[in-house]
Amino acid sequence: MPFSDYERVVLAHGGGGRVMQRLIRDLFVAAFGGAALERGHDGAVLRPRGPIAVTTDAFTVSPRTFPGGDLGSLAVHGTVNDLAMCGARPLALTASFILEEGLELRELATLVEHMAAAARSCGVEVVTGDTKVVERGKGDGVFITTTGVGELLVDPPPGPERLAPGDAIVVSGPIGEHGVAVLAAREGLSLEPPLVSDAGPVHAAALALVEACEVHCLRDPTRGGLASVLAELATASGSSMHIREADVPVRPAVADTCELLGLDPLYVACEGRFVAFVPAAQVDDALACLRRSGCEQAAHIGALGPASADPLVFAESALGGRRILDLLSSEQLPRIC
Amino acid sequence: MGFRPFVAGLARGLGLRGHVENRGGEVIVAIEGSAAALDAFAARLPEEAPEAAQIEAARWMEVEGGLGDGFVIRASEARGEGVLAIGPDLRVCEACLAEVGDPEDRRFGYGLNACTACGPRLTITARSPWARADSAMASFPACPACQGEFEDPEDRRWHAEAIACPDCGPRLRLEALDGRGLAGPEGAIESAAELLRRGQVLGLKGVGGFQLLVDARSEAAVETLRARKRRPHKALAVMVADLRAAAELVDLTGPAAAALDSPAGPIVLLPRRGPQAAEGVAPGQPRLGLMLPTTAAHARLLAAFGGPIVATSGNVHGRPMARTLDEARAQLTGVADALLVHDRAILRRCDDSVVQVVEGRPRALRLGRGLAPARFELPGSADASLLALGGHLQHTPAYAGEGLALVWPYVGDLDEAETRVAMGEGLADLCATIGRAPTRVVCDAHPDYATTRWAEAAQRRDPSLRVDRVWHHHAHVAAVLAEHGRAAALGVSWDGAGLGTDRSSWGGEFLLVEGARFRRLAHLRPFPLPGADAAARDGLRVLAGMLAAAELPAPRLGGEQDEALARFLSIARRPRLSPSSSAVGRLFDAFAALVGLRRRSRYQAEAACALEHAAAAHGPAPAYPFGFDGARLDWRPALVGAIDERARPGLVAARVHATLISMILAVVARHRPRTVALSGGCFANALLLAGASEALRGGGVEVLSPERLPPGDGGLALGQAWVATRSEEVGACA
Ligand SMILES: [Fe+3]
Ligand SMILES: [Mg+2]
Ligand SMILES: [Zn+2]
Ligand SMILES: [Zn+2]
Repeated sequence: MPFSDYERVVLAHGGGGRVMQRLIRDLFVAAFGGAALERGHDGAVLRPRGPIAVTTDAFTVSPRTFPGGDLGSLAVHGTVNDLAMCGARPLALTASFILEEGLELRELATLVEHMAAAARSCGVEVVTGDTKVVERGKGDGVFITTTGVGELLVDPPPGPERLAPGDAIVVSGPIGEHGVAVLAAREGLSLEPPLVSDAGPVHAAALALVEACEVHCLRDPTRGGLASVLAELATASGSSMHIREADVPVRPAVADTCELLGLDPLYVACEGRFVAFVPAAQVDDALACLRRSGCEQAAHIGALGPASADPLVFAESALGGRRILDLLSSEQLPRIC
Repeated sequence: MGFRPFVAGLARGLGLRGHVENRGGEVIVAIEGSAAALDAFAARLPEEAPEAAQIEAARWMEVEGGLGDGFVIRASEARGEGVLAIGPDLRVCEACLAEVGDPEDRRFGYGLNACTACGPRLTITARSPWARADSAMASFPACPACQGEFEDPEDRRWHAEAIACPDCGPRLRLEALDGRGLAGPEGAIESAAELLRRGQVLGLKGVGGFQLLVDARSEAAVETLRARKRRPHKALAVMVADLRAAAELVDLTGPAAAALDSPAGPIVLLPRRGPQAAEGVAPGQPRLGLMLPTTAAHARLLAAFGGPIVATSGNVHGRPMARTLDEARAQLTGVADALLVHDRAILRRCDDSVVQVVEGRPRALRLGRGLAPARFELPGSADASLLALGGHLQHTPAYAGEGLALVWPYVGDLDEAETRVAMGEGLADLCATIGRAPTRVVCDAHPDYATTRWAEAAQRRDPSLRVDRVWHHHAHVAAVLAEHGRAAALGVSWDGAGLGTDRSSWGGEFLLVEGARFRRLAHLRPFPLPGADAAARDGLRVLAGMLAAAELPAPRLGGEQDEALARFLSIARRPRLSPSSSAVGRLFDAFAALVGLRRRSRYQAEAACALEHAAAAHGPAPAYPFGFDGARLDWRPALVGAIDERARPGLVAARVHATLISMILAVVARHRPRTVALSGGCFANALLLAGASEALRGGGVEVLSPERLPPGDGGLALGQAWVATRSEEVGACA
């Protein structure tokens, strides 16, 4: 243990004394590096050249390590992705940790290393942070909150207010892998072959798209999945949306597991996918751009209809039936009487 | 419904003076005359009243004399009064059919013949109260002959708002799906019959929407219809010319014949006999849904064709039935080979009603043509203007006000997008038709029902709108109490799923209901449902849940089922993947899968029906043992018994029914209620309903059960309205 005499987090790690100083210096500063952190000051100074986007996200996931990622990488990718959804190139992140007394320091070190690696690979620096320790039983191991600042690439940036009737709906890749992989890991389900989360950065592809096309809106379908994002945006746009389920990419392993668990893949979370809304005339350009950017399975899944007083999301099944994708209460409450 | 003309005729015949008027759905008769004549009037009124005019209650009071000379029918009052006096569409009557068959009659062959006692109402009314000027008949000015009949107090069409004849009324024609004319009024029926004889599919514009018709004796025609309509399994209804023709297809009892031949003319489910209808009409099912001709056009078509005809709603799976000609052309191209249409508009959809006869009484299973709007007294609603939305499946809304509730026709299952859109349009239409904007909306407590979401959206648009949420099973019991005009009972509320107060899925409930309050006295021991709603389609999932809860080893079922069961068991042991349920409906699914009767339900309650029919075919059998600790009914001993006997499906099915009935008796023995109300979709099971009723009555308990209202979610809205108007406190109990 280079950074501590302890094997587990103790209250002193948040106490402001030497135990805490050593944790910060030997773990956080060592991992994240960078000039800003090494100044040892309470805040960082950024000098953006133009309009900036800011986003913040608190991260918790159970289990903290899952196939394809962990809480540390998730805390970077989630915020980087949110900046990208604003059409912004990520500049800097802040990170704040709430640690529960008793957390193994070895695990914390691994999470922090993965966070640092994720930040480096996204080309974004962690410029300032904070640590608190709560008593045993008052936290779920570790919570990480990251705030991101990014430079807008286009102005006005993509946003729900720019959605227009007729816009094409494009999804960047197969959906539902994160949610199913985490669920399987949490419940100890042995899936064959095992499912790997899609968690990862999307900013390269999303920003390439923003530069290549007139992108009206970008959104990453995290909690509640694709269906919930579309339902929210339909309300925001005042237009109904129509998607073809057969065109939504879903890997067979995800489809099979969802079928077994009685889940609808359209409602399962992704952490490395996004939905883009572009003018219908630019949909081919958008798909070509995404494919060049590594999103081989990007797909055109539907379109916005005309303005409607009661905007709904319609999903057409492969058999021709149509259903409505609602924002659900997110409890799995049976409805079939 | 021809009631006022009947009253006038009776009064005049007895030399009484006075008037009759329709006020808010109540008929007020003021009469003056000799005591003997008044007595005769009072005696003959209920005896001779037209069949369609049900007298719910009659009250007599003395009024001032001086009613003038003669007896008159007073015009309907101005708009705003009597708005709830909308009647259902009634089957063509004998007298009208006789005219159509009489070459000497000026209505000979007229397919849309109607009178005061029959014909369309709800489906052609633009606005209440019912009057020709505000109906789809407004575009057909009556000819002098019809006008004369309308004004003649001696004529049976006196004040028949929908009066028409071949000269002035809507007319039939046969056309291709692209609009090309194939035959006019004279040849339309014969050409349509010829098409059916060739095994083709006929689209017919009926009363509440389009229907699809094929030869019911032709397997090939039925198969074609199923493929085109994308309805591979669910039974299809058959229309026959008359009761004699019906008796060739089914076993007809007196009450069943009366239900078939009633003015409502519903589809009646009856025991199938012989191979006269194609097996594909109701594959593997012991019952057949029959109805008699709805209109003179149907009757003429059946006569011209000369055999039973499949008559099912004119839609493709998952979409509401076509209502306008444009909808029919769009939806039925590639489905129907020709359309037999008329030029009277259908203003709102109304599918055929379905009833079954249990214990000698007709019981509604689906409210539609002829039965809806169904009127109920709802004393608490005198000052209300309330819209009750019902559930998510079998969506059937109701309006309550002025001391009455009107249950509107069934709309459908709201998982389907087009039905969902139709729900919104239908609710707007309901309010527009009665000319009232509701000040209160009542919905289920389930947050994810489309109806709940509609209520929330309505409240966002109008924050002054009051929204009450009523617990699902409270509403089920309340519906039965409302139907029978009672205030309290021990309610047995059994169905497939409904949100309970502990946020788990209920459906095996014993609730003490007293108005707006209820207490859960007992319930089925809960079990996990691996995959939640997926378990409603696969009984093996439910069986896995029960095995996991009982900590029993999986029985060997053979084939791929053992592997599936093992997979489901692994999920069932994980509470986060398997919400808890106490639903009897799911129990049926599990037992049906266990004994191999039916594992997957391709439509609602398919597995439960298979279990019911197997039990009926087997005959009575003793109950399995079960546990009861005063609150929870433990099915585990029954499951153990059924696993042992699983090679004998009929025996297990019969014993499961007996066990469920014994469970009711056990709860009743403990709580000793005077009255028990049976409610929820499980009581669409005729064997369970009859068995439980008989056993309870044998123990001296009064039994209330659904008759005019479906036992399942199609009856929820009336129960919701009843709970909401029982007390101002309802918001607190939800
Ligand atoms: Fe129900
Ligand atoms: Mg976020
Ligand atoms: Zn008639
Ligand atoms: Zn006429």
